[in-house]
Amino acid sequence: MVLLTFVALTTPLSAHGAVLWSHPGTILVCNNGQGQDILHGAIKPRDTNSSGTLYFRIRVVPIADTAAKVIKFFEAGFMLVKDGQEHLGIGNARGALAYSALNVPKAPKGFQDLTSSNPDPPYTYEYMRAGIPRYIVFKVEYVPGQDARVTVWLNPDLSTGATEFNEPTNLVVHFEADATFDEFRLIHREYGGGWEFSQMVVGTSFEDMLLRHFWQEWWFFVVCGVALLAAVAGGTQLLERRRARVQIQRLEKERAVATERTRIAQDIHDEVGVSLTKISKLSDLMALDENTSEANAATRRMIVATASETIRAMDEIVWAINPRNDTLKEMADYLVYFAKDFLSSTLITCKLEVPLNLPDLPVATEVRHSIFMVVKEALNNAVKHAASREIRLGLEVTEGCISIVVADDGSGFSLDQAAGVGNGLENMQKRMGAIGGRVEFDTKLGQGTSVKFHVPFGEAKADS
Amino acid sequence: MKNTGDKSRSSTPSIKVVIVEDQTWLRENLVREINGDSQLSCVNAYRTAEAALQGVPNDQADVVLMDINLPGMDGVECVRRLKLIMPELHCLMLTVYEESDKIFNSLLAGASGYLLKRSSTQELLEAVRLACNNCSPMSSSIARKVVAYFNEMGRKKSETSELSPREQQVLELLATGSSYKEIADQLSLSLETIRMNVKHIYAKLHVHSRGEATAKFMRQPAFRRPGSN
Repeated sequence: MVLLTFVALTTPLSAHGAVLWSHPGTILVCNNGQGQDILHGAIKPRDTNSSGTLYFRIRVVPIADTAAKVIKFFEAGFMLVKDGQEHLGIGNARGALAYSALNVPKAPKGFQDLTSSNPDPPYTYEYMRAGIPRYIVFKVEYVPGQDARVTVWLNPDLSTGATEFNEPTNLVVHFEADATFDEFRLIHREYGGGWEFSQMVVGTSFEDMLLRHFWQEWWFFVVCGVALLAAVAGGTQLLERRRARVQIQRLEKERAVATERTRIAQDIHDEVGVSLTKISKLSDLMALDENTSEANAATRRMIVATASETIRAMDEIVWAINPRNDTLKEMADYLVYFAKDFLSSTLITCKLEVPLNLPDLPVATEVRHSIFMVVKEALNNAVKHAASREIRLGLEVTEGCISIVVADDGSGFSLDQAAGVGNGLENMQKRMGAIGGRVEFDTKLGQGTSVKFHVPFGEAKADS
Repeated sequence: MKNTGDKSRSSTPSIKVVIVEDQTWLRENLVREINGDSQLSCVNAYRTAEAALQGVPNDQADVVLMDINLPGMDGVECVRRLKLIMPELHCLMLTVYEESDKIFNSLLAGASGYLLKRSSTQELLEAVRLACNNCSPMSSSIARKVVAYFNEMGRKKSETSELSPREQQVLELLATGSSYKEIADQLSLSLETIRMNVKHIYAKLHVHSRGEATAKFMRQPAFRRPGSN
């Protein structure tokens, strides 16, 4: 991704033509006579037989201005020199107040002056002012055997996207001149304290003349790329860390909830259990008081029974919500205890087929609770409707599945009759469905009923 | 040794009971209920395990009713320590719920059984008498735990605490939900024999866990040099 961005950002640069020559520094020349070559043969010389087009850009800053009229004659410019002979120059011709071309003998007088977008009326040109920099771009189209066609723009728009065709026409000057060269020289002669030249470029297209901002430089892209990489890497790490933190927070929260659940369970268990025990016990003890009438006995027994039932019901609830019981072993132990306790007040015997050494599997609270509820329902049905003498509670763990069976030897029922027991059966199916399990009824009139529950434990299997 | 046959119907109290229970209303009522029976008498009642450890050795009691949850030292630990000094003492745990883990731990500590606090007077008196006659009932939930315990211990067998094949058989039948009567019928034995078997199972459970507990207890520096403080 980073690489793609990098390529996408660098692509506009490749639209440029070729920069043939450039001079990075700033050169101040003052009264330097013939000047010195700065090209050093970097570009193939152009002579009268040359063809093709070259673009030049220079940035100039006059040290003094011409508007004050204190300056006497001077000339300055970027000179094309061939065989020691000065040809076309761009700068200020001797005697001119404005930027102009030099050595353009064929142009009528004044026509070599460069027009400006900030003219000093009534003229179309502006005076040169001290310290005010100007960019000058000129195009030279070489025509073999003739003078070259020259186009000059004074201070054109050099921002990204500018072309030679969308520059304002009022700052364009055309003329023809001898533009052959084998040297570039910067000159300033006589008055005015000198000229400063900088940002000189020669290229093959106008685009090469455009000013490249720092964000268009290659190193900027490298920095961007590195920064982007760092940002992505940092961001990923930060994200990862945050994810880990969120995960930890979630686990801590879960543990806190579990702890709180246990505490509440324990509190209810202890507090209410003791109170109900007290109610039950005190009601029972009323029998010891001589002045308790027989008439009160029935009420007293009801209080005892109700308190006992409430204690049992609360024990179930507390068992259901205590996360300590979230294992297959605890669940099996409780089912055994419950079945025995539930049937202890009846004449029905209870046979257990529950393995003693159960695998150490986690069973989620809701699964455990649902299993408990359906077993309770099945036991209840067997006691209430079936007139059984013996009830069998079986539990077995097979590949990925817990199977529990509650079977009685009672009257049984045909499945069309099932509507009578309907709600209970439907409830069991609903509860099993909710935890991804299923119920199997096996019954015939007079041959007892067997209810089987199958609950898959995908997660637990992965752990074992 | 108490008679294991018919209970004697003498009018003088023959069974001395001690109660350890922190809740005053229950403690007082238990005293009342025990003393209401002609054969039983409550010789002392304590509020904490610590007080009981001090007093019970001098009470010459036959049975102690011990609350399983006590402030400070709990009932299970108190039973463990009392049984070390008085192996003949019968301990019945008092509990609000049938919490099989706690009850099983009490049995390992040497308790003979447990009693729900909400039990009626009749059930209470019956349980005390049974305990005195060395008849500890064993529910199937508890039997399951006992089987699991012996299976676990089987790997580091010690001869004194190993179950006989008969005892193993009785225990496994108890764990599948059979009653004493059903087991007796199935194995063609008398009910009395089954009771004896269960008694021996309990005894071996005690012996085993006591061996462990004693070893653990002896390692504590405070015990190694008693009275050095």
